[in-house]
Amino acid sequence: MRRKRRSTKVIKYKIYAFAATLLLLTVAALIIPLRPKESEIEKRTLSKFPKPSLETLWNGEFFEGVNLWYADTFPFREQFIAGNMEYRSLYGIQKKQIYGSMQASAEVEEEQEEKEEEKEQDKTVKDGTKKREIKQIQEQFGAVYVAEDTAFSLYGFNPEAVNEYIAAVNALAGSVGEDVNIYDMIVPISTGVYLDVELQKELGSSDQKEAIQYIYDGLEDKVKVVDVFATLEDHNDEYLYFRTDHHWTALGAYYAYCEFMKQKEMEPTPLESYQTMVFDNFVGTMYSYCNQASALGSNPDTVTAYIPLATNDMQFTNIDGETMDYNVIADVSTWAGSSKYNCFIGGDQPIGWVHNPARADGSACLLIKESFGNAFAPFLVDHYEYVYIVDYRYYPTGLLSLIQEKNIKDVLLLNNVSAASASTLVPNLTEIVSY
Amino acid sequence: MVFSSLLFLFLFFAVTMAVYCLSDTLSKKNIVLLAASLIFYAWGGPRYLLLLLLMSGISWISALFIYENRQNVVMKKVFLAAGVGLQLLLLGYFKYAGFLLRNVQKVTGFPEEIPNIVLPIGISFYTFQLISYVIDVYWENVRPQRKYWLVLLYAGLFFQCIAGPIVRYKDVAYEIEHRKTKLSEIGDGINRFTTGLVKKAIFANSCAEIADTLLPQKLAELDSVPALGLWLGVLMYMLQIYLDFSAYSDMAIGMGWMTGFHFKENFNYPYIADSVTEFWRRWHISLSSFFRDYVYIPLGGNRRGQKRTMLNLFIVWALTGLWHGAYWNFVLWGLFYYVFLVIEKNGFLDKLKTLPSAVGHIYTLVVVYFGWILFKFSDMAYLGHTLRGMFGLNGNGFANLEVKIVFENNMFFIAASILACTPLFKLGYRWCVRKARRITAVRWLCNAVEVAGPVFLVLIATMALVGNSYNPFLYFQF
Repeated sequence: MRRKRRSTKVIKYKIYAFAATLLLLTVAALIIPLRPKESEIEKRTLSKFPKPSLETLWNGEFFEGVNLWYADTFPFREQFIAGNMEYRSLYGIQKKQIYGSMQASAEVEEEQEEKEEEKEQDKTVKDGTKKREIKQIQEQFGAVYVAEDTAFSLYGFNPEAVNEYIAAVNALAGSVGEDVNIYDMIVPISTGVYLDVELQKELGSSDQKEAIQYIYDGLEDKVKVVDVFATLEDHNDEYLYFRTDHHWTALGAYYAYCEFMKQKEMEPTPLESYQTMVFDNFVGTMYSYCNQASALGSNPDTVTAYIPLATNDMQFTNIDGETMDYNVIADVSTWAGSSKYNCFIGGDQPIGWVHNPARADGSACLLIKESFGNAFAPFLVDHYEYVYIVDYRYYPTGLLSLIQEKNIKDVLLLNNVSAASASTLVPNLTEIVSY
Repeated sequence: MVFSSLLFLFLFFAVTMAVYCLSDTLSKKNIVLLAASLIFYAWGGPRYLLLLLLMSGISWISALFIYENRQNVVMKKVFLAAGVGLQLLLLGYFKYAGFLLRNVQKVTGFPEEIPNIVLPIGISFYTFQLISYVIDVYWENVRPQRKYWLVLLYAGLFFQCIAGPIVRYKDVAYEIEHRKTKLSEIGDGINRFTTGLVKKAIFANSCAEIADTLLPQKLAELDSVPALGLWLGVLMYMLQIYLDFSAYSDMAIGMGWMTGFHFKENFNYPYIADSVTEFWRRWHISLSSFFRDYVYIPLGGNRRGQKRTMLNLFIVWALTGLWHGAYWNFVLWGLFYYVFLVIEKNGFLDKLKTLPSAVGHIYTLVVVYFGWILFKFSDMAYLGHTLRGMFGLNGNGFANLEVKIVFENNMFFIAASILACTPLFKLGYRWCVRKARRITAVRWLCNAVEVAGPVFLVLIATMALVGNSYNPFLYFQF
């Protein structure tokens, strides 16, 4: 009898505990301010509450939207996901992992292209000058291979995009004056520098050396190529690329800069002479791509930035057309762990420029880049009176007028090999070249 | 709405149960359940709610007419035919019209355009419930329900409306109007429900992820998967389909216990069966018993001679296959089982019994394993490519790095999923509890596990569900 009473008590407690859990979480879920709107880690806006219409109410789409919103913006979302990752790490031995399907890489890009097909119309701004419509341009990783604490994005050669890239660079070279030097630099991604060729092949990652050579071979003689593969390979026991992010480090960019200087027959600044800023706890794009794999999250990167000798001041015009004063190397120590790469030149801005007060020779250089260029740009500062930095994904008008107006004599196109093979990015370059 | 969604758990279910508990009389409780069920069903698009209301109405009226005319053999038959016929027509229209027209088109080239009819969620389940109700009334196994809304509650009760089990009216007729809940059953119901939730949200969903990685959606990708990848992929699919389906039944049965309903078991560890015959006694029991009671036996069962028995079985298994979906591969899947069941019936089963049970067990698993390949691919090209690839004929070798990594990354999970298909966890837990109860010091631990266990299960399932809302095909700003 006593045992029975006790077990009745246990069952009662069990029912209370279960009911309390359900009700507490229900109440929490209904407190709208508790719901996150954006995911810092995933870098995306979470689903919004759908707008009902008669049609979507009738066919159920509205309710489907409510489902999605309810789940996607659930309170304590990041904590729940972190918990999920925690016990999923017990699923097996996860020293090496693959995120995204290896076979899928090529196919995905095709789909992407289809989506992009609805080409945007150019819009005419009030003052009569035409401006490109800038869309949020996103890049996608095909698949990511994680070995221990390091993520490697796999590279897929895409001949169509690469050929378009070659044509765009050649077109630029053909339309600038004789006295303008055009340099082209294709930077390998970490996979090509760190992993041995056999493994890359096994992973289904295309050969980057071949791809880069293919591009260089396609460029006209007027374009001077800056081949950085060998120098990066020579230093591949150093911290050239981030482990949790797809970018290179400033050190990797420094070796590429030395190669550029060699090409220009100029003396690079020794690394030791720069003052540095160091930002710990950087957990980059790969971490979120890999469903916040704890192998990456618990081993964050460190961003080291080298401040130009001459100045740390710059200006940029942002995507809304506002011009701001900024620092070449900004202090991001209080920023979110996922944003530390933004310490370089204010991040991805349509155009930025640095005036070097130590020089007055009128020399000007233009860097046309995607985000790999951010870590590279600061090294140029000491060698020109003016350095202009254009992010071709966001730059609203043509390049030629800029080159003429600013009397630019050196133009460097810097792309990582994935970007030069991305059908989502290259058309932007084509557009601003032929604008 | 599905059980394994956060909206269901942390709004719909919580609120429904709270209101249910606060309602004092049974008829109020039934109104709560009905209202909740209608909302639940309408969530997938309110227009199909009309269909559920209509089909329940047909059953309700025809059952009443059959009962009124129970002395009149002819009229009774007429109303039976009308009731069941209308249900089958509606099911046929919504589920099979497209399939039929596609096949007619292939042969005759007509019609040129095939209308796109969307399958109303759960129609296969509730139609069968409603049909069984009408037939049971016809056979006078059960008295008809006079109240329309209670027939609607029977068919549309959200516990089992969209994913089974297929409950017989006679099993719940009494409980609909007279059920009592026992404290211990509520406790058991919570255990069953939360176990089912974890089975679905963690086990089945993770199995699905692995299966989808190894058996990609696109033919070109599928062609590049090495043999081991395909074998492992099918295994994960085999685990997924059981864990997923039985989890829904677990949750339905659990919710039933919480509210005083007793549904029959729908799955009884089918993968531990020693023969294909036994497998089908353990797999989706409410469906196979439906076909047995309402098709096979009325057709004469095995009492009309060898040939007729074979024909009856053929019909039953073709229909069982077709019930799973309006594609030929499902019919083939049903007939695949027909072949093995006939072989077993004609002496093989007796021979199996003389052999060690491991032989029968392995044989059964192999048959079931290949059955799932038929089940998975509605497109015959995929089926062919998968089978060829499994035997190394796609030229991709035995294994590659990706398959090795997928296996290594998930090896403990795969082992746990295989064990989850056996009664091991259940028996193990019971054994521990029995042993522990004898020792006073540990008894408290046992009680703590009993109390905190379901909460723990809900929380880890929630983690998985929140994580899954996360879109794995992510884009990044550069």
